[in-house]
Amino acid sequence: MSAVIVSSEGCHLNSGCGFPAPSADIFFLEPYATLHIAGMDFVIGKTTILVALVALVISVFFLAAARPQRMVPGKLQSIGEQGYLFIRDQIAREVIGKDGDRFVPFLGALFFFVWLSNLMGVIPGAQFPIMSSLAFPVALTLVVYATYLYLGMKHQGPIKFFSAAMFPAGVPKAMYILLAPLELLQLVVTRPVTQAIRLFANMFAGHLLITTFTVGAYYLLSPSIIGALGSATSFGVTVVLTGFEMFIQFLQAFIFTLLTAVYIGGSLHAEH
Amino acid sequence: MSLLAELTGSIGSIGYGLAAIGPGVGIGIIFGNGVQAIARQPEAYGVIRQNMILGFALTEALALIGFVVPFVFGK
Amino acid sequence: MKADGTDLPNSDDTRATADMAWRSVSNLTAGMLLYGGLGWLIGRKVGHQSAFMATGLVLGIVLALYLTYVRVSNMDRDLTNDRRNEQQ
Repeated sequence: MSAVIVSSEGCHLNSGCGFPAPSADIFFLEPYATLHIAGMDFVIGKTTILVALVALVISVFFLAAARPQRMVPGKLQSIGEQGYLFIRDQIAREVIGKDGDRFVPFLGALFFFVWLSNLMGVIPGAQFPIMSSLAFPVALTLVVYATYLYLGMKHQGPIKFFSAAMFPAGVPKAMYILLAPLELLQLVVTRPVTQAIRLFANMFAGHLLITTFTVGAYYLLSPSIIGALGSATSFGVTVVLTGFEMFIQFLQAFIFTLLTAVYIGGSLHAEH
Repeated sequence: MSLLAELTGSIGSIGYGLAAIGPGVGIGIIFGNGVQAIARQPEAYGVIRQNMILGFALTEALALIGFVVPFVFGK
Repeated sequence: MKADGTDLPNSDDTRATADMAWRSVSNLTAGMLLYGGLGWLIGRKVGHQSAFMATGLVLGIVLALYLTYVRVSNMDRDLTNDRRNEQQ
């Protein structure tokens, strides 16, 4: 966002420049430092620092909340317990069932990482939702993908895992030729791709929308009635959209974790 | 005949936006009525759920067709 | 809510419904991708690209919807059987 504002400094409604609409360029941030190791470039930029910060905050918080282990919890411990119980009751036990308890750490880590990364989009100073660069949702999805494939093959045997998905009962034999590649494609390609793209597209669109209205509020600031009214309205819409965006961030984190739980449950309990 | 108005740019995205209105309303109606039916008669959950998912799949198909058509008919 | 989760209502039901609901979206996209892609490839070889791709897409959608229907019926039949076996 800083790149857009710097290039449009002093660019207001009647200054003669057009509206500097934010495009996908705002997602490519300037690096702070670049390391050249073994012929590859490692960039240390805002995103790197934010990701490290998110991981650090979550680790420190949950370690500090779990340390006291009192029967009657203090404040920090009870917040940590509520977070844990939310994942365990609403996601793991609802979807996977009784044996979902051992996946609660994994699901909890996913949920809080995605949620805090998304929240970085509205925290002043950071203001960049980490999940809006495609690499991060893809990385998380690869972990989930490996997990449910491995679990499915371990619990049901590799052949039965794929054949139970590919050949559902109650279908005339001739249709199997048409349906089996569809199911295979769905299991192996579509599931991870839609999971990653859903998270990425929501965060990308939300960030772009808020940026557009913020730049609009700045652009419309000019000594004219339309300018003043437009700027005030744009700013109001930015505030409303930020609230909406916070809800969407929580929802997308929840859906990502819920889908992970659904896929793990599908791998553990065989299809009939 | 003189040209009065012209629309340039990404018409496909406008098309998808228009195509998503109907399925959006439709899915809302399906699940809203489904939830209401479950609230009235919780024993019939299985039947209601079956029909809800079928209706949702059919309606979602229309939205996805709207997404794909610009690639089919465009250049 | 008990500590070990033994009083949960119908976790199997919820899991199957959630599974099926997300599956229907995946089915549709996979069907459109696979058969639309096949139609597009055939169209490139033969000519009239858009007609083959459109046919492939429609075929993919129809198959995906059929698959969703089959899976939902299976799921419902299995859950009803499970419930009936439990009550006996």
